[in-house]
Amino acid sequence: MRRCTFILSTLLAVSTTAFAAGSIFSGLADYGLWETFTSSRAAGFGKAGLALGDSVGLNFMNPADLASLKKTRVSVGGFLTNTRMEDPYGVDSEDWAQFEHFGVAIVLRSGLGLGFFITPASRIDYRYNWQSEAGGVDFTETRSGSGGLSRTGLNVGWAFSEWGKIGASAAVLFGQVEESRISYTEESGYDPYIEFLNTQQWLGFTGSIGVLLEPTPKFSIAAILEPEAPIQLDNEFAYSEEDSMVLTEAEYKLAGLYGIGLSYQFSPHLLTSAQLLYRPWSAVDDLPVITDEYQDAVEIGGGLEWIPGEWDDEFFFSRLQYRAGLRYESNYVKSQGSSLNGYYGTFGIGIPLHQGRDRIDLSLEYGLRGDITDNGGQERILKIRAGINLGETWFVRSKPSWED
Amino acid sequence: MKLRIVLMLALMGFVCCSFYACTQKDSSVGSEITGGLDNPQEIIIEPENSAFYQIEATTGASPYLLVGEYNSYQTAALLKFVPTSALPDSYAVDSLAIVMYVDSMFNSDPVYIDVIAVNESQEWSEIGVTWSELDSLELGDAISAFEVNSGLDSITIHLPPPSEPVADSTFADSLLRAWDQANSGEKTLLYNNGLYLKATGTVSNLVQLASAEYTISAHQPRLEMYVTVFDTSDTTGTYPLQDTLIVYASSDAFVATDNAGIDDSTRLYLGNAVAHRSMLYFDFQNLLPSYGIGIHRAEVTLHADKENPLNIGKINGSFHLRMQDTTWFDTPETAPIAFGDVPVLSIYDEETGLLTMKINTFVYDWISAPDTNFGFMIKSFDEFLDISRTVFYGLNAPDSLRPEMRIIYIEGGQ
Repeated sequence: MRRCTFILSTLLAVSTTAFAAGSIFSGLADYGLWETFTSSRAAGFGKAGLALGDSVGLNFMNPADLASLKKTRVSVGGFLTNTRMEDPYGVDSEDWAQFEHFGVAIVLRSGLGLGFFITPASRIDYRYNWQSEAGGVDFTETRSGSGGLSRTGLNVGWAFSEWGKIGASAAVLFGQVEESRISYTEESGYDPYIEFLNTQQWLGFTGSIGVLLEPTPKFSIAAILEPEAPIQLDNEFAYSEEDSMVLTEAEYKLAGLYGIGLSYQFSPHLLTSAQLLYRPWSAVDDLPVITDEYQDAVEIGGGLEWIPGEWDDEFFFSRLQYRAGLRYESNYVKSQGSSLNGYYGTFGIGIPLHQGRDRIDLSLEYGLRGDITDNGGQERILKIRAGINLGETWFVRSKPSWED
Repeated sequence: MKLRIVLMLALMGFVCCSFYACTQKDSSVGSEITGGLDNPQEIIIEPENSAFYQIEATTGASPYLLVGEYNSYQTAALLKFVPTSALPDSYAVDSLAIVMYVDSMFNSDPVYIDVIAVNESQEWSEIGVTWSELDSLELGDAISAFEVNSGLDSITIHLPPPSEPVADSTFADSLLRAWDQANSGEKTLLYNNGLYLKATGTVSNLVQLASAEYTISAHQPRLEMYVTVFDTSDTTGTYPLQDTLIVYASSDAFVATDNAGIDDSTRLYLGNAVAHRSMLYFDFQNLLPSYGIGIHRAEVTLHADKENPLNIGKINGSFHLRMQDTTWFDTPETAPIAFGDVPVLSIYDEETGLLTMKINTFVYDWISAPDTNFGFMIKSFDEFLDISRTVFYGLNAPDSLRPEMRIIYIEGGQ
């Protein structure tokens, strides 16, 4: 029964396409808005999970942490979000929920782990409506897009020493984006409706190397390196006035990712973590849109985790892990020529299960992205995340009876 | 274990709800942030080349027959009755009368019209007959004549019966000769090439008579035959014999020629009867991308030169058709028209003097395949109808009056 539910839930999770959260700013670039995800635990830390060695949850960003696993692990989760969007002319609010991460990792042997994962990489989800005029005639214009990129692949982590782990990841970036452009008029004598449809299929291969060093039992330092990678685009362009369509292929580049993280265990009850991620988009030559609209992306996050009681504390709430963090991001696209920045605060709870061998991570993130004056709009984002981390004794035979 | 199962089921439910709960943003908030979004654009271009020519149109389907001369136009009418079925062998024709109705006149000047029988050797068809075809028409003296004055509603042309032997007949060999034979008891129509109506004298007016296609059937030209029973023993069957038989015209047309000798290339012309047709060519080279353009409207506008003395009547509208090549640059009258286009009607606004033609389909093709752009022809959509000559400003006109193409388009952002 457990195996069935595991398999069903796994298939269900994998069968859905992972999308990162949408945004009114996601129409600024063909890739959409990028999102990073480290682990469900780090979501309460301001997403600062690079250097978090975690034997219960899976680290989706630093493959080196797979070397910490003691048993097969499954990690899955998603979020509910409310985004309040505002521009100089109006306010709107959107609610949605989505799957965010799924991973399963196995222990090949002590100090060597292998994992499969799928996470969102970017999302495009926007719809712009505006009025225009040409030749004294009024038009209603719409531009909308949906889709995004997902990332899936294999991670492997190896503990080369007691204090050091190294890992590698091979991943596929894939996704589909549909962008529609509609022009409509009610003026008599005009062709009233013109629609263009771009259907984009993205496919790229990338990889990364991660390092997790523990020079002291309390201090960890981690780093990841993901080089600049090519990504293939198959574009299908059609519009309402033509029966035919134009198929084009192109190859662009994705900026590399450089990250460094730190964590320090002040005491068994207090842990801090911080990380810095950097993507040099301005150095990339082949981008789908005008290079001037791209800038280097930076994300800085940090937080702390506090466990008030012992693992077997009599008081329920003393057994939980409490997390808080802050995060700042400077997005890779500009809006109206200005940097698109986001400021977020996070709060999380870790609920141990099965004597701490499993865990449910809940987190709340609230943030501001953009500025009405500089960027033409602002988003207030409230996100409630849930992640389930389970350990299984898969791939382990039962003890033979003659050894009893 | 039970907790784990519950968690798994909750996980499955969460994932299901998460996927299906995904919504797409549908508000317009944020539209301003995407500076650089393409809005519909308007461009106005002028033609690179133009030409015009005139062609004699076939007017058999017109509800009018025009006779006279006006503003260098000269017209005449052809009319034919076939009374065979109405004339039993036992009858003799005493006299004939042709009754025609006047639809309008261009002015109040009287018009004198001769009635001439078309010669035995000159056959004509209402679909196809033109002024040029009648150059070799052999016409005798008038067999009758009438005057049309302003205010006159109808005219009656009286034709006396043949009173002399055929060989000495003072009337042209035509309808009357047939009556002569009938008078002898034989219903033999030797030939019948109809009648020719022609204005005589100093004419500065055009009479517009009702034709066999006129909307009021009672006003269509008719032949009244006043007969005498020749052989009372011969009957036509169950119907009583009449002493007046009426036959309506079986075919008619008017032919026209334009003596204006127009060679002013600074203007464009459209017209009926002697149909003027104009051509335009717009160059789209490097104007717009060859793909990914959506056109809300592409229109060509001609401005009428309403004060031009060459104007006569007016056109009601036009068709526009693509040309097959650019030989019309030099010889417009012989240049071929492309096949396959469905004529699209554009209405001429007499009050504003504008002829506006929507040519979205043409422009789409010319943008995507510039090598198919040979320009297009504009012609009056009812060239058969009446006399008209409408003058439009050409390429050398002042800015605001030149022909122009206005395109409102949007780029698809491919």
